[in-house]
Amino acid sequence: MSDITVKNIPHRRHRIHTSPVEKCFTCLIYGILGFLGIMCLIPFVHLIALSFSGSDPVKAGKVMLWPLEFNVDAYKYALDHPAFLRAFMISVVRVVVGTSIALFMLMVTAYPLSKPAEASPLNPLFKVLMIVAMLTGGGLIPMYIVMSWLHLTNTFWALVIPGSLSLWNTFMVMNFFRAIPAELEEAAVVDGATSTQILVRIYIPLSVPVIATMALFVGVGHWNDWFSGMLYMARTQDYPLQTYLRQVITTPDFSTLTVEEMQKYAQITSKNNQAAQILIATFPIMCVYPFLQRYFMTGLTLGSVKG
Amino acid sequence: MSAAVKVRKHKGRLKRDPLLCIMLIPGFIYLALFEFLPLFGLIIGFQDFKLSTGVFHSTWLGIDNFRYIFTMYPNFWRIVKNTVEIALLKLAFGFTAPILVALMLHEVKNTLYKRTIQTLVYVPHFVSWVILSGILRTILDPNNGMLNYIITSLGGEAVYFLGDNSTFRGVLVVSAIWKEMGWGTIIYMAALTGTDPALYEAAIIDGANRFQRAVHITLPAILPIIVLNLILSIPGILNAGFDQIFNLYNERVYKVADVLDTFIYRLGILDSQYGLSTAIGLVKSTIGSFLLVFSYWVANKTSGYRVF
Repeated sequence: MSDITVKNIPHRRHRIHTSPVEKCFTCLIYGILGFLGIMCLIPFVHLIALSFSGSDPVKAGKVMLWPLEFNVDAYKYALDHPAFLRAFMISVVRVVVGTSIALFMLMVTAYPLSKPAEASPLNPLFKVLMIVAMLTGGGLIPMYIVMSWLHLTNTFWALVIPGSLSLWNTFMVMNFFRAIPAELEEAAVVDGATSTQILVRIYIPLSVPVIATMALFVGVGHWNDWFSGMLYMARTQDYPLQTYLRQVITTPDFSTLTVEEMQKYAQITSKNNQAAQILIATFPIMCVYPFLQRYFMTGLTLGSVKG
Repeated sequence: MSAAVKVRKHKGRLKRDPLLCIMLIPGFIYLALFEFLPLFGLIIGFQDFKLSTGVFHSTWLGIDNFRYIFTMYPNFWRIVKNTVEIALLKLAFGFTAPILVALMLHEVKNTLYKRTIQTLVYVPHFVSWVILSGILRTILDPNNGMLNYIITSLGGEAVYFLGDNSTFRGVLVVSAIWKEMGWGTIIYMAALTGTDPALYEAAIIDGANRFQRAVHITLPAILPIIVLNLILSIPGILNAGFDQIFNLYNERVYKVADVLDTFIYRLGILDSQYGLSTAIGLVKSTIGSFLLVFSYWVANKTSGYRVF
């Protein structure tokens, strides 16, 4: 109907679209957005150029967006460097195990919570505890003491167990589960399905976009986390990739290093090698990103925009 | 009638299903161990806590830790001031940038261009501050960084951006905007997809130009979400961004960059002042909780926002 109204006055519409001010406005917006898009890309392009360049032009600061004296030594170095590879593998395992644990916790908690209190009598208590937990926090040292009391420090589990139940995500998924038509569940109950079967056969398949979004966030969170590695791991060989990179990137206290260590350190932290290691660490995220992009739009706006 | 009876029957069946309670057990264990047990650990904020004596045998100090921090600890109030100032700076710029970008993106009619830009600006959100700190250190390096190369070749003098009190906060704000600007638009873009195209058509007929349409139709369409977002960012006032600052700062810029979270970390982990560190953390999280409750209360009153 409204289309017809506009079509009825093609003359006027035409005139407005060709107004020079409007054209400038459009060009300006396209220009600014293009600039912003390029600004988000340039640092990575610069890093790629550094990683493929020879060390002399890099040291001289001549490399901009195109590699000079092209070579792949920095990548060879990273892939031959046992400490880097070990940290990389720790992070890969961490993402897989950590995301699985978190998704399991999310499902088994959000599903009963989405039921009315008559069906799941522990719900009110659990929700009160969750809200209290969201509002309070022990802080750094008490958390560390609890972790070492549980003998989790310096173990792989210190990286995946704390934070495995995200209270915020639980509320999100709980609200999503509630929106699933009750008729589906009733039909399943008539057919003799148990709660577990209803969760696995009905709720989870219907929530794939939400679950994928949560998996993306949790997985990326695990991949990107550097703090728990630094806090809970005493030995550097237990560091996940981001904690390892942090150690490489930040300047150490040179006074404590021997000459040999200094030389070794200078090699690790030469800009080409740093750039290559950073890019290798970013690569997995960039690989999954396009596939999950269509999910995070739906998943992210799910709980936040209501009505 | 018969349908209602059926439903009641099934609810009755569900009621007897103990599986739902069993499913909550891992959640209860998690909350007990990792949310409530650390709360008991807050007791060390009132102690002269030593690892050798433990929580049960350390000297009890009462509120001495708090009194010491608030009245005697050098630089404590400067750190509080830094925290609030940096958080406000980031809020002022970091909050408006996504709104502007969303308004501009909404004006783009070419779907391919729009998608490409969106894909590009979301990318930095997924990169950790460790990696971004590596990138920033590389680009801003005073000796051979890209930015200083450009500055010097234009005849300027090289700037040590990350080691200078006058530039460090600028780096913090710009890099925070760069990282989150695109991601922040998602919520606004989602709200904009719901605007009625008829509004724009009516405005075109009435002779409104594109700028007027953006100001009078697009902006009011996202205004409720802008207000809500602003209210919900109140509790962030004590969080200046630990990940970012911790990975970028150094002793040279403590004066302008040291914030509560970095201070709590250094005091507790590097200086082994467990009691003092926990005491500051307790004060900070208490104020944070009040601000959180307050902001949700305001959000609920003004926008009808509900999480639970």
